[in-house]
Amino acid sequence: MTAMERITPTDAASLVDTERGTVSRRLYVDEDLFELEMERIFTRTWVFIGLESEIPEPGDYVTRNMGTDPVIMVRDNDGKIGVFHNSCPHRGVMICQADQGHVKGFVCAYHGWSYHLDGSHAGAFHPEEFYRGGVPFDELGLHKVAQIDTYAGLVFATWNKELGPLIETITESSRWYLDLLLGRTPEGMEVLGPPQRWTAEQNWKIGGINFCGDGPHAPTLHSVIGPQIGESTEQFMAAMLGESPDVTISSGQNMLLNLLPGKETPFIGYPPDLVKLFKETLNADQINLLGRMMTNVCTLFPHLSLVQAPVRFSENEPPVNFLTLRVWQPVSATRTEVWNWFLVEKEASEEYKEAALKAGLRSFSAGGTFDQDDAEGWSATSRGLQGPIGRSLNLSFQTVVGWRDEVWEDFPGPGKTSPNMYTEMTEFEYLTEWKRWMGGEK
Amino acid sequence: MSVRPETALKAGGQPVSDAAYRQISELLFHEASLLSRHEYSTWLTLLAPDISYRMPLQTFQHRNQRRDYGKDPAWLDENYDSLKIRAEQLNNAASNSEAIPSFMRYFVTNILIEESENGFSVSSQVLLIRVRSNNPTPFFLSAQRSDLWIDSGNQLLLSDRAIHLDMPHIDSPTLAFFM
Ligand code: FES
Ligand SMILES: [Fe+2]
Repeated sequence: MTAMERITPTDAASLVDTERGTVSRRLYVDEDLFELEMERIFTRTWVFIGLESEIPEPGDYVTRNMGTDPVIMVRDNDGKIGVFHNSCPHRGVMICQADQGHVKGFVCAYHGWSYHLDGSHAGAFHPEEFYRGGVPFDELGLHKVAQIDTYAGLVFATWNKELGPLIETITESSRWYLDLLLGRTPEGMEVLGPPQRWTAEQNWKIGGINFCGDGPHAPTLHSVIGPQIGESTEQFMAAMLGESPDVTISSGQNMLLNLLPGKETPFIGYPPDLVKLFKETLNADQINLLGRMMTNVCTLFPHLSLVQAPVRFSENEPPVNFLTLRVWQPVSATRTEVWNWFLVEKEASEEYKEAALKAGLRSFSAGGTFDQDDAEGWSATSRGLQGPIGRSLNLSFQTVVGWRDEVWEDFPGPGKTSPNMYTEMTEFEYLTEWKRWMGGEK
Repeated sequence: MSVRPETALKAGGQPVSDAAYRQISELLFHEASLLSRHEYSTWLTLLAPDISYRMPLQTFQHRNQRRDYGKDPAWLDENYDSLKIRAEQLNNAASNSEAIPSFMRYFVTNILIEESENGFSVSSQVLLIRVRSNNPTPFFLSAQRSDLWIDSGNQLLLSDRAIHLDMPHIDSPTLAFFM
């Protein structure tokens, strides 16, 4: 029996109790559920693949995954981006085994079948009569995803023909907020290099849920390193205790913001020339919010997270904002590969780009001072849930019960905003989205 | 960025004296011992105030398809102040990552030394074995290090270190240590 047959949509839906705010611990450890997630989520949603700026020229490629399926993202001779299953239509050999590269076309190493940059069949190594007309080469191009779409230089793909365009997932409302991170200058953001890749000993959803808005862990787990955000410990605590909305920006898309107290000078950690560009690009409400934004963490279901914050690692240097984009790449129920990119405004000076990269490396990365503390907490979650009793119990998101009816009415942005970062509302909304996809509603 | 250095050393340099070779080798062993014992405040005293401490990021690339993009990618890019913050974090029991200290062993070998303008260029190979409480399966990292140790008058100080890992993808959740 396949996982699909063992776990019905009704079974899966019963694991998230939206009334009580509880979730079965099986979501973090169950291999059958994991298998099912790969099918019901990763073959059906929009999946983040990479950034347009990673493959600027025709023939440039990077290798990625959609769930557990390997794919190639490549730019063809017309400048169009293609995403293909990274496996030869002949006998399945991986076509591109490197992390990144540049090619004129693809040649399979095994028997030499070749493919154009647009994925179509180019030739077979041996003369045509060898195949005696029996091989339908026209149909044997690289297996293509059903749809590709982009937003702010981010490339998404899906295997799902029926899924609506990306704007129905990353909606206008989402973009209102995401533009504060990704679309705040005329030219937008560029990638600072290939992603770091490292292993996390936890279920792929745990990091994503945390980045939806685990406000309560910031002043505890990060109490030592946290004050590196902003100018001082006082400023960090003020942000932690002050205005910190949890925003469900669209279905399955959640964000937590820490706002600078109103009396503080806005736009901490940006050079003035960029602030000028922000003001030319965003509307007045967005500018007000961006100016007060201290930390911003965000997860777009299923597995893409972003985090930005101003940090300083020298007393005599001002804080600098970094922007990290991260994928929680599923490997197994208790193993995840983290892929971590850094982005910066294309228009920024070389000096600021370098500073932003260093700020990111020192905070949110494999060697990140914040990630270190999170990572051991998450490894310890997997250890804590490994037995049959662990699986039979629930995780508590019951804080939502007391907050679900509280809405920050006059918050100057779309979506549903909860009044502070302690509500667990955005984290639980992620799990509600999981339930929609796994439970058959989507 | 794209080509891995075989050694830190420029061709044609002068071999150092036996005494210097021994002094610097022992310095590296002493450093390794400090790191394995989490003696980070003492380790900081070996660093020059203007130190550059980098761990470049490698990628798997096909010989005929090589392409690099972006700024020099890295795992770590540190200066004295940021190393000090890291050291303090790792030594603070209120910080989660090393609240239960991991066990670490450093094997330093293949030491090559050349005298340079105001100190020594030193190339060494390191094998680090680390055992964390949350995963007792030993994790190892190997690297080639290219150092510049400068003579500050009364002691040699590390002023530049590039750590070229052999792992394009790191099979561990943290880099909560120094190398
Ligand atoms: S498997 Fe690719 S050509 Fe045979
Ligand atoms: Fe965290």
